Amino acid sequence: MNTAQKTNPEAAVEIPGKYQTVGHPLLDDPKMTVRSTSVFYAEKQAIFDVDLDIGKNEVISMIGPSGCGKSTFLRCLNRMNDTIDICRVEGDLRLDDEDIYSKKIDVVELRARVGMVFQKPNPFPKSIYENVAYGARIHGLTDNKVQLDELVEKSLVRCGLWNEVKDRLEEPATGLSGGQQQRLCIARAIAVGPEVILMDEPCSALDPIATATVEELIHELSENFTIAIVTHSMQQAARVSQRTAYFHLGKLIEVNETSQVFTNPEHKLTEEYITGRIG
Amino acid sequence: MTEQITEATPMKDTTRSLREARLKKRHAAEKRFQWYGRLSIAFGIACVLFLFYDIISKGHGAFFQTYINMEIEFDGEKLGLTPDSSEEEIRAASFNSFFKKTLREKYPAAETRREKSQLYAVFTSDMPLILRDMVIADPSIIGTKQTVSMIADDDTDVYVKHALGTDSDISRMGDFQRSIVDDLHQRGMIEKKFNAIFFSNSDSREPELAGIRGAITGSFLTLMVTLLMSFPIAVATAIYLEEFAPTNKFTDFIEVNINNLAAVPSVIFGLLGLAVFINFFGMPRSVPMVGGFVLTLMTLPTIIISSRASIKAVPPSIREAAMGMGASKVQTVIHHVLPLAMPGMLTGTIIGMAQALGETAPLLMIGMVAFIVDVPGSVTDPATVLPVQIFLWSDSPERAFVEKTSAAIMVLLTFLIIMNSTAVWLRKRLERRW
Amino acid sequence: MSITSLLLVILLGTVAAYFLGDARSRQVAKPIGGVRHLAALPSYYASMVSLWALIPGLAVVLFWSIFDGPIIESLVRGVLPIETKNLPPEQFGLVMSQIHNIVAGVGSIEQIGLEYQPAVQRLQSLEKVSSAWMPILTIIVLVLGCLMGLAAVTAKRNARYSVERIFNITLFVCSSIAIFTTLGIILSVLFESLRFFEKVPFFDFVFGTHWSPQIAIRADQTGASGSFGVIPLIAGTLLISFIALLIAVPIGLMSAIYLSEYASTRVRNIVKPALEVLAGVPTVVYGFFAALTVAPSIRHWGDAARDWGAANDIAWLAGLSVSSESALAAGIVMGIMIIPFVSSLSDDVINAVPQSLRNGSFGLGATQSETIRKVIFPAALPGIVGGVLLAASRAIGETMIVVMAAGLAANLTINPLEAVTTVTVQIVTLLVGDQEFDSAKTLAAFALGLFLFVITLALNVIALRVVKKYREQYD
Ligand SMILES: Nc1ncnc2c1ncn2[C@@H]1O[C@H](COP(=O)(O)OP(=O)(O)O)[C@@H](O)[C@H]1O
Ligand SMILES: [Mg+2]
Repeated sequence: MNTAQKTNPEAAVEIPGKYQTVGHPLLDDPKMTVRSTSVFYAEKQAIFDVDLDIGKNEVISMIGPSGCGKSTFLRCLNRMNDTIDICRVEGDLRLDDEDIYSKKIDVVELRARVGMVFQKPNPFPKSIYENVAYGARIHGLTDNKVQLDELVEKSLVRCGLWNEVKDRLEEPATGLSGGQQQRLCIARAIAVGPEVILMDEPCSALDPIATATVEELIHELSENFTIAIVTHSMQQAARVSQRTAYFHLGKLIEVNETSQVFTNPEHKLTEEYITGRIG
Repeated sequence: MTEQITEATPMKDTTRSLREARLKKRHAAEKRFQWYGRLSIAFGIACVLFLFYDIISKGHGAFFQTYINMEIEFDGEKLGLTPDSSEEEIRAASFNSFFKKTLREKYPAAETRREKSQLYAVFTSDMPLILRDMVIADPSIIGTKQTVSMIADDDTDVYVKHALGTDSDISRMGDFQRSIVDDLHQRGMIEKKFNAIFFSNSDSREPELAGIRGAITGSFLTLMVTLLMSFPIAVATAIYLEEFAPTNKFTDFIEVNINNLAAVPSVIFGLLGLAVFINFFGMPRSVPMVGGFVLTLMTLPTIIISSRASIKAVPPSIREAAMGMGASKVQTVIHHVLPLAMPGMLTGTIIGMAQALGETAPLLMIGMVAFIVDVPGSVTDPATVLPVQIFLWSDSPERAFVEKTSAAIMVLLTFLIIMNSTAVWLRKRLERRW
Repeated sequence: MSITSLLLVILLGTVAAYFLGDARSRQVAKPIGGVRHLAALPSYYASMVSLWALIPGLAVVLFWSIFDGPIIESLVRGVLPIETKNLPPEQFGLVMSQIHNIVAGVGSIEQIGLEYQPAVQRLQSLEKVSSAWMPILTIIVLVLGCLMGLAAVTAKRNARYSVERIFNITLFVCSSIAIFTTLGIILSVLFESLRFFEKVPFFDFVFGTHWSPQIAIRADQTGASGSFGVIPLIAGTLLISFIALLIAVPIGLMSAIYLSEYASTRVRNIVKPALEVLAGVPTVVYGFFAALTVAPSIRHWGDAARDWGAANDIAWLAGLSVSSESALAAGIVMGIMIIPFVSSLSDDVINAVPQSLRNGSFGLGATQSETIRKVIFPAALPGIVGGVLLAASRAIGETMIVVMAAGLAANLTINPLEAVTTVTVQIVTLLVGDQEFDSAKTLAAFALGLFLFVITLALNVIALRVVKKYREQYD
């Protein structure tokens, strides 16, 4: 089932656990590969047998009705699901061809390589500076204050936040606006030096103007990082991503070039979703 | 774009190696941190276990008492009595000298005064009175030989329990007394029996005669007063605050007061009881009634707070349903809210009562520390309570009281465990229902 | 008739009134076509009538028992010899209590002098009158109340309204008890303290470094100078509380962290109640444990260390001396006692830290302990500080452990191996046993009580503020 092919869409959904993803879920020379992956919350299965590749320096967006398992899927990629007691992940997930669920892998290091930004901005109740410096401190990335200052500045500059906050680095981060907080969280993540950044609906708690800034930032970051973004906004997916994956009730229905998904979806369910019949 | 990738990749690789260099140390720190947590918990649990072990190992002996089975001839001549003597005559007879004489006859080796007094000291000093009571109960034993189970003195008791056959001088007995006890032991006259005295007697200066009945009765009476006062008042307050109180400054003030009272040290309630109930209202000292009043004031906040929580937990839909059928607010509360909140209120009350049962300091202030031999018959009789009895005994120099104190603690803890388990059980049931 | 049986009579009367009220309402209802035509259900009329009987009856008993003492006293006072009346209050009180004793059958008139004969007789007759009239009056009032209640049973009167009003008033009165308790505490400690400060200057009390109330009594009954210095007591209290917190805070906090962040639900369900056991053990038990187990072993180890130090020429160890009642023993045991208190407060506080912060930290590749130490702990710090303040107030107000294990020696020291005394120990010691009314010694206990009340109240108010603020931050 490693070669994606077009099959009868209706039949695909009705037989649970056995279906085919339409479109092109697989790539040559991917950054991350996901094979036959299922996720369970206790007895309840939330992700069904997903195969997907994430390419180097691409932005892939995941869309689908709420509760379909987008966040759950995303959290598999840096093993954030480990923090949920009842959650169990099955399948083969690789980063640069290393099995990320193998015993040899250190979760802590994995999460530094695969950073994450959350739906609601969650700055730590510390100063702006300390928020960005946090990752560098715990991972021991710098030897002295000068290097740390440099790293903080660089990260903030990359997120376009430097000019806004450079005069109040010592003020609490919780005093920033929502959009600034979210960009701070992104700065905080890139300060650690990740290769992949996972973003779970990073703009859903932001107003349209802040959303635009963050989208622009994602666009810029995509030059250096692999980004997987969950979004409920199809416009956003269209604006920032090269490929789009459509999830439905825990199943990966379709993966295609973003433009194709929005103009000419292959699967009936995808079409129903983008035309607003499934919400 | 290609340019930027080539620029960025080396940077990522260096940060990655920097990160990996630290991983080992970080994981060691993680392990260490977890161990601090485990050790803390282990310390707490060890304290619980050691506390119980310490008390039980010190106190279990008190549930047994050493008796000496000795054949005593109730010689009519020595006593100057006949089986037909009246009770007054028996009371007038000198059982003291009779008892001593009997002992001297059995142990002629006791010659000097010191030896003699050591001989008598093998038995409890109340022994003559106990013999007298035996005769009063059944005068026909006069002139007969009876095997009497005689209560050993506390020193004898400690010796028999802990030092028999060893060199330990744990008990403060003289050599002669020790030799007598050894002899009694060899002759198989010493017997350890369940210590009924401990449960049937009240306080006494003699450890072997001291018991907790008076203290338990006192605790019971005090707790009854506390329960009868605090439960209705607490429930009424909780209902008022949750269902009827207008939201205004005064209601706030009541709430602030309740919350602060919950944290006032118990000894302050003792001062209040002394100044208000005893000095101002002239109530008697040392009585369960005043003790109950003081403990009521002390436990009210606890019960009020938990009662309010259980009233809050009653779903508003029930109130709406009742009011919708035309029930008045009072009817709604009494018929619908109160029965549903009752298990929660009872849980809080039991916990409050357990608190009151273990409380000592405020009762010391209102004079419940007196040495009281009688079992209190009503809430206005002088009494002491179990925790205060523990306090008094723990202060006594006699070694035997250590055992008694620990045993009294075991009894107290048993009551508390029962009460708290009941509360837990009630709460569990409550959870299931909702 | 004793109070208990009188209360029983009142209860019976109330029940009777209930049934009478019920019958009366049905009787009223009959001519107008049944109970449906009454303004309220018969049970409400019945309750109304029984309340009309109960409340006045209880009021008579209550007021009689409060006021008969003082009234009789003042009447007896009238027949006392003039020179007795002019005695200072303490001695006058003594005479009065002797008179009371004689009436109660303890002692004889010869012991205090025949000039008190009229007073004794007066007291005797008044007490007789009082105890005879109280039940009679109570029953009369009860019956009158019942009759008036019955007369008030009419078809138009809404008995439910009256009953509910009484119900509401009762609830309100009960709620006010909390206020009266606080007021009672404040007034009683304040008044007695003011009287204490008439005898001992305020500044001598607050800044004095010497505490020995016993000596003051022997020297002169009007109080003393300089021996009521509260500083050693405060120092002792703080020393012991500090030791207690030193044990309870790290252990309680780490236990809470482990239980809420690491332990599985099963472990938590077992360990948490096991730790709570420590909170349910009465303080007198801890006192016993401290005095009979912990203090002797500390002493034992101290002596062993000293001998070892002497043998190995370690001067400071060789000079070690451990008092049999050491601050350390009391402090350690008190610390054990407040472990569950600290741990459950910290548990609440830690659980209030939003999950999103944990996720944020994990998402950056932090280990769990890094997340706890660098994110959760700082975020929870205000709440934890509040909890520590509450624990401190607990420790400062704790009585039995220190009474039994800390001793009475008012040493001004920070050496935990020496005996110290605390504010609560002195309150208990000054008031237990024979107390002279009005002596500086007795009043000093209330001054200490005032001090203790103010300190613990302040700590609590601050702590509750801090915790509340903290909670609002994350709500
Ligand atoms: N912590 C959890 N425990 C149990 N079930 C969960 C948990 N998180 C998510 N789920 C379930 O998994 C499914 C997918 O959820 P999620 O991944 O959050 O969906 P999405 O992000 O697409 O809205 C949902 O049915 C949800 O109920
Ligand atoms: Mg989601």
